Amino acid sequence: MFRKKARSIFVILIIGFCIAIFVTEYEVNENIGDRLNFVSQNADTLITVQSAGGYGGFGGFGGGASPMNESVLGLVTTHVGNVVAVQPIITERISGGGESQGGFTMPVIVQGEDPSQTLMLNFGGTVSITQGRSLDSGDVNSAVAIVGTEYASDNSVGIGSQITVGNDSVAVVGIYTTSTGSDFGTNGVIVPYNTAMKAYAAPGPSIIYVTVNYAGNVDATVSQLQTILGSSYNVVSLSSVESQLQNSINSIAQSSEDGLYVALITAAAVMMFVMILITRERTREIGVLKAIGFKNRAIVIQFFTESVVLAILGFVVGIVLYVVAGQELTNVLLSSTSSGGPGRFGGFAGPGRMGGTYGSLNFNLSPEMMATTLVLAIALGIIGSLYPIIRAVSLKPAEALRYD
Amino acid sequence: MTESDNIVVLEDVKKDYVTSGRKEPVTALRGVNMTIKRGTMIAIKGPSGSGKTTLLQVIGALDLPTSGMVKVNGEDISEMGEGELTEYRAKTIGFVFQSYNLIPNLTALENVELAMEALDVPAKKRRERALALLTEVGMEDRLNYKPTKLSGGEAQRVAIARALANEPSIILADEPTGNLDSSTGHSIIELLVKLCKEKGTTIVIVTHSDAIPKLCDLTFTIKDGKITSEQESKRLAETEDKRKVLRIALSASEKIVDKLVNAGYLDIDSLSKASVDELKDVLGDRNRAERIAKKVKLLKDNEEIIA
Repeated sequence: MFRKKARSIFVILIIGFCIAIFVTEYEVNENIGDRLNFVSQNADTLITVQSAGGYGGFGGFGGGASPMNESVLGLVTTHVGNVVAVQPIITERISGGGESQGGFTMPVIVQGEDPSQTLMLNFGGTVSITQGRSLDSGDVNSAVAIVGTEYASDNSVGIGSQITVGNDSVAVVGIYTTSTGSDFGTNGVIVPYNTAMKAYAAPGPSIIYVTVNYAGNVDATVSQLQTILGSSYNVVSLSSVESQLQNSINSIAQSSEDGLYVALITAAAVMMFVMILITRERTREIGVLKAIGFKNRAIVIQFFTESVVLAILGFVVGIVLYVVAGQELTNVLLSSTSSGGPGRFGGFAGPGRMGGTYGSLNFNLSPEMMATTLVLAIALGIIGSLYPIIRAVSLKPAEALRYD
Repeated sequence: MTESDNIVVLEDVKKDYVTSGRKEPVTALRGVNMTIKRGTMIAIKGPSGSGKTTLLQVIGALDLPTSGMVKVNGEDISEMGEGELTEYRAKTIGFVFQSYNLIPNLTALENVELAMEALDVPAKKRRERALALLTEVGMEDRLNYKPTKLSGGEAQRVAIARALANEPSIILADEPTGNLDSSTGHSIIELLVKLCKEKGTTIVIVTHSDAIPKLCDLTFTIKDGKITSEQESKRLAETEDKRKVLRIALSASEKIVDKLVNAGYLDIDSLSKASVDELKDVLGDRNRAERIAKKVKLLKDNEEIIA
């Protein structure tokens, strides 16, 4: 098998690359699924208000939306009917402190939210407290924070710890996870809106979530808000963009799903090609083994073992590649698969923003995923080598010995 | 000569090949009839494309005849199933190829052991036997060399050791000296002659050479897929003469003489060097062995008195 070392290394690398792509696509697919759930669950009655052109933050949660003036919040709160909740959010990033993978440090997102309202995760879902307490109406002006489980674990932060947010220090009172049960979005900090405003000297919210009393009033409320706020602001209902968003997300999800299959089929094709090459080269050897009395079963086992070893080495290389370069691979994959989506919702579709968008993806490889990939790699080895091996052992010894 | 003396019997064996690019099958063997006696050394001679290798492959069950009967040790191998053929190849036949066909990434020792692996011989026994065989063929100082590091003659010796690994009753050698210079080739043939004589192994050699048949008991000439001549050599005649002398001198049955000749005891001299235990191994009976040993001693003593 390893008689031709350069070829073996090349094959292992190709299979490894396919496996790295497979794992990455799988993770992207999983995370996109979480986002899609969030959008679907909240689409009926939710409206967002942002500075014009700032919608990248909606889907992307990148924290890059331009802040609005505080007066906008007043206009929204006091002049609009049918509204059951208004949640202004200030979104900022803390550079560093996030999980580092392959030289890429995921930014920590700080959200300033009105603690008297339901806390909304920009990443999808709502807050679910695992330790300590949540923020409440008593915390409106307090220097307190709740932090995500991932942030807490990466930065060794617990209840009572002091962390720096903007120019201020705040005390951690609670640790949260997401209501969806996903790790996605737990690499963040939530502080009271006023605390964030002070800490970052923000002129106003980055985004305002407006919840309308029922779905039938959404269009009227959007229209009313747009009239009040003028063209400097974009007022969009999630229901109006849901289909576009769904299409965009579905297209990425489909691309990543296609990528899964392409990666698997490529790896299987490479394996089959290599096994055909190996068995062709070694057909005479198979003839010799048959001539000296080896059973077909023993020959098949030997060749299967060789191809499974190749596939397992490819798996190891693939996992190493994924750990080292999973983030970069995601950016490359998504920027190449997402063009053509609605530019307005750049957070999901605009190639230029994908890096930021998926910077917060969860790149933890679960033992289940490792096991699944290993089983797939072994299956690849067997499937890829099935035809060439069966073909080779079905030859009569004399035919195999004549083979050059 | 009893029927059990015939180790290989071919009756009207035909073999057709279907080759790519040709509509009509190619006929390699056209009704071959052949009988090979146990413990003899046979040469099969003929021009290229005459069917020599096909004949060897049919005897070795590397290929099956299109029609006809191939009886080896009294069993028709053309009637055997795949499993029986595999066992037949492992136990009864040892192959020696022109291009050695050693496994390139295994050492000389491992190549010999490999043949025994096919019969699930325990590892320790495999190692011991492979060492003994490689020593027997003069390769004891090249045990851990891979085939690429061996000369042609050395590689062929390893191939012969591999062929002997499972103590086959027949060795089929397809132009074993074809890739070797004349002196190396000669030493390989001498080795095969020695094996035939000492172990009683039947050896069938396919060859182009004129020299090799002279060392064999019988030469078959094949042309266009048919045996055109069958010629006994001097060696076989000598063996037959010795067999007769031995039978008279020992007053033994044909069966006992066959056993002794097949074990390489062709005359009183060679028998006088054998111990009773060795004779018991050959004859399978101590009383008989003691009787033979006693007669041999008497004959030798008389010889000395006369001298």
